[in-house]
Amino acid sequence: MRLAATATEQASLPSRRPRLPVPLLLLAPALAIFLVFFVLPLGVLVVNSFHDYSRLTGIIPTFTLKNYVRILSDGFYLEIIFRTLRLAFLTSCVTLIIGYPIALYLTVASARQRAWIILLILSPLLVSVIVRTFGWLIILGPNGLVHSLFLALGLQASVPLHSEGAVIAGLANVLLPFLVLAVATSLQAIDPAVPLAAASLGAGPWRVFRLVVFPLSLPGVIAGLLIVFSLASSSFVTPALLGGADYKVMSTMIYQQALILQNWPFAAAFAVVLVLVVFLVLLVQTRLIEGGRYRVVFH
Amino acid sequence: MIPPAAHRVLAVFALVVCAFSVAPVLVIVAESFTATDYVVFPPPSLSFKWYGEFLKRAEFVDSFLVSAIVAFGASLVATALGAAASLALVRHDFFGRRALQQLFLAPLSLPGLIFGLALLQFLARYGMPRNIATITLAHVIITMPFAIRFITVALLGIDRNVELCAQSLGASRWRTFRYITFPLIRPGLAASLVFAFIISFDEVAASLFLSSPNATTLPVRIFTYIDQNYDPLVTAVSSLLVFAALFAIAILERTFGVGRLFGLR
Amino acid sequence: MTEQDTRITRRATLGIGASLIAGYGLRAQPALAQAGRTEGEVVFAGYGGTFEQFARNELIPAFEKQTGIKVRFVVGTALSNFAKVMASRNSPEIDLYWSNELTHVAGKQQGLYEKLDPAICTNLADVTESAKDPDNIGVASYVMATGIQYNSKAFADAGMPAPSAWSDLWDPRLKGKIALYNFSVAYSQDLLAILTRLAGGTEKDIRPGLERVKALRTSGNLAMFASSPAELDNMLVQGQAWATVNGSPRGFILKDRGAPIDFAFPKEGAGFFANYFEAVKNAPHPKAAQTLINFLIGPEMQLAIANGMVAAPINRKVVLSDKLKAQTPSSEAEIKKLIRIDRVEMNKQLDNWAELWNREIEAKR
Repeated sequence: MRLAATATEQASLPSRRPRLPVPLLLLAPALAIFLVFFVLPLGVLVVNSFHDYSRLTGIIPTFTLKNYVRILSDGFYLEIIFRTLRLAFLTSCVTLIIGYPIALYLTVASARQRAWIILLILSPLLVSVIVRTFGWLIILGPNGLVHSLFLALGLQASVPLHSEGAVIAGLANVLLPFLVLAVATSLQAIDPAVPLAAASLGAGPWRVFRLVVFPLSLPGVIAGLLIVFSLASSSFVTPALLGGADYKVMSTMIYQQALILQNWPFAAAFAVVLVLVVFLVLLVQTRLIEGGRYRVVFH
Repeated sequence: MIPPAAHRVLAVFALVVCAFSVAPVLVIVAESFTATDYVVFPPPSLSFKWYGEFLKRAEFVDSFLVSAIVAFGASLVATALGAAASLALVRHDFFGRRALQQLFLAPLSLPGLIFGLALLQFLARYGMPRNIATITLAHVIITMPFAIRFITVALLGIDRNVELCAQSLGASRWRTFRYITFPLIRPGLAASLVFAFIISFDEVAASLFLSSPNATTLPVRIFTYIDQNYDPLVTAVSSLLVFAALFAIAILERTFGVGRLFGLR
Repeated sequence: MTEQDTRITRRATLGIGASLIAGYGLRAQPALAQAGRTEGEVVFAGYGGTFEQFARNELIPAFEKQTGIKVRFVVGTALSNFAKVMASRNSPEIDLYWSNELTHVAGKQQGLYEKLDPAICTNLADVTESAKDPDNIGVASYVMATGIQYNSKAFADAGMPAPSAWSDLWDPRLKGKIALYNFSVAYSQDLLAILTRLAGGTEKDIRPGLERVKALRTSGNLAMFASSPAELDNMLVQGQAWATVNGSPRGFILKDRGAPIDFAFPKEGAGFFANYFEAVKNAPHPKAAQTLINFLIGPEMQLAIANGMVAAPINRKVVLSDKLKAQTPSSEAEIKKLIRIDRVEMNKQLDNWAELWNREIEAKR
């Protein structure tokens, strides 16, 4: 989550040679916890990904690349990776289409309307994802809201659950606040004089938006899309509940391998691949866009 | 920036999207009052019975307690350690400061699922048990970036001269902190406590791997229940999570302003 | 924040903190039992759906009444609970693990289970030989069969005879009407092995069985997957699916409750299916675990299990009603007719089977 720092950094204390290194003392507890329970476990994860496994003996601590080879060369797993990325991409698009107009409206809404919109859009962030996804399960599930609606209208309909569409709907709902936040932040930073100047020079409202407002909001759009993309590609609860047993993405595979089939080395390798793949895609995206025609906006 | 003609259209759109945003939460709370034995929406008749049923299930009450204890502990520890770390990072300059800042913010970029998996394998390798303490430690790490962010912003908003004044009048570092700095950053500390609490209370992905038969957090209990059953019991339990969030929102709105918290005017 | 606010907040925080500490202390109480005596609590990992209901409604209250030991029931599948046992082997969380044949063999090999103590498990003397483990590690809880569970009303309404053989599942009239568990549940795993054996193969090469299930999928008969017993039972009761492969108890329990469900022991041979009670090694409450096991294999509980879970008891002293005799593989002769699977080979191959199944059966778009 990106949170804005509203003040610029001020100068630090004039350098004295303190007897006890105060900063070290202050940092020690947090640093200790991070090293032992954050850095070290990640190390164990990576190391385990190079081990072998057998159901009858457990983890075999030899060095082997077979987990990675299996993931990166087997069509089945490559399809899962592709499906994960496709899901994240589609979710990002849907979230942008839904979220951009709302962020735009925030710039012209009254104070009271702003307060309500911010409350209604951001507050769900504080409700657990399991509750929000379960809500979608009830909306889309058997005897749920949509199903009851169709039946009331006399339409013959199957339950719209357990499909990629259901997962995208659920994910878009869960991740919408992040996108609105990012875009609204960058929209509110636009000096209103600029679009005003463009309008006064004769540009119609659509041209003002297309050539001035939208490009200036691009940093926020990119930031929002990146957050939504990375969160969507690693989300577990929503695809697991709304996608059904046969909708497999990387996170559900990691869960199945780790907590059901007990093959920790393979799950670890999958986890490492997930982090790397998402990181790569994000890198490519930022390079592509920040180096493109809108370069001026970013520098 | 936007022509008045478009205002109407955008306003209607905004209304629809706001409804979309809160729909699942409203549905859950509404369904929790159903009188039926199975899930059907809209509920044809209403009753409080599922809340009563929840209280009868020892494992749900137990998980509620576990989540509360973990969230309370994690928010306290994260705020305390985060405050100390923020002080060090903001007020002093030293070799590796940038790197440390990145390290403390790193949990934000790591999916909870992967962090949970890593911790599980780590605990198993070194023979450490899964219990409330380990879940709390995991949540401390997950919520620390927020604590540091809030407190850093609060620290940067203080006029340094007040502190220097106190010190030039003879106050020790500790007294300066206790009587000058601390009161001034109180809103930031409060925001950190509340936010960390609710984030920890809601956390699912990492907790899935760290929960054990003796210590299962409420969101994980809900997930495993839905996996095996589909009845309105969990809607009552889930509504409790919604009420907890509403409570947190009320406090945050009063002390800080939810929008301001996220950087919006 | 005003001074007033601060004082109120401080008091509220202290109040909440104090009550949470009290809550933590209360939770820790059962664990403070003395060594040597039987512990006051036992953690029992078992199955969901109808099995969970039976455990909570009959099994656990009876045990708690007789011994005063509190039972904490954990729900999962054989594999997911086994994963918990394996994950926490250095610091076990579960005392009694209700395994299936597969995880019984795997866990025994890895040294995860304790030998049963005849001094505590006195009822072992009355257990049938086939139910005992040669090294006395764990004991079978009951015997049942893997076969076809179906919605009798749906078949009657469609004018079709009730299924009586495995081959009936491939009937083209059943297009879109077959549901199966996904591969993490034992019955689908066993189905592969059973079909392979019927085709003349062995567990070393599962292809024959896989091809048959694949044919079920490509013909359009197999259209749905369930990840839990409750979900599958729902699909059948509501009529979304007409037939599935499941353990015998589930169908009969639903039938006894009045649902239009029935179970068929397939002509070619039903699968042998047994669950085991395992005492986990180095568990926190070892004595309580073995006391519970002894209780569960005793004649009273075995009769309750036979009635409530419609499974063949393993205690010789139990006398079954005729109705139960028909619904369960209760005689030695009947047990001999069941198809038994090579669990050692299955353990070795399970990951390969899972991959093949994931790829060729469950993968769609």
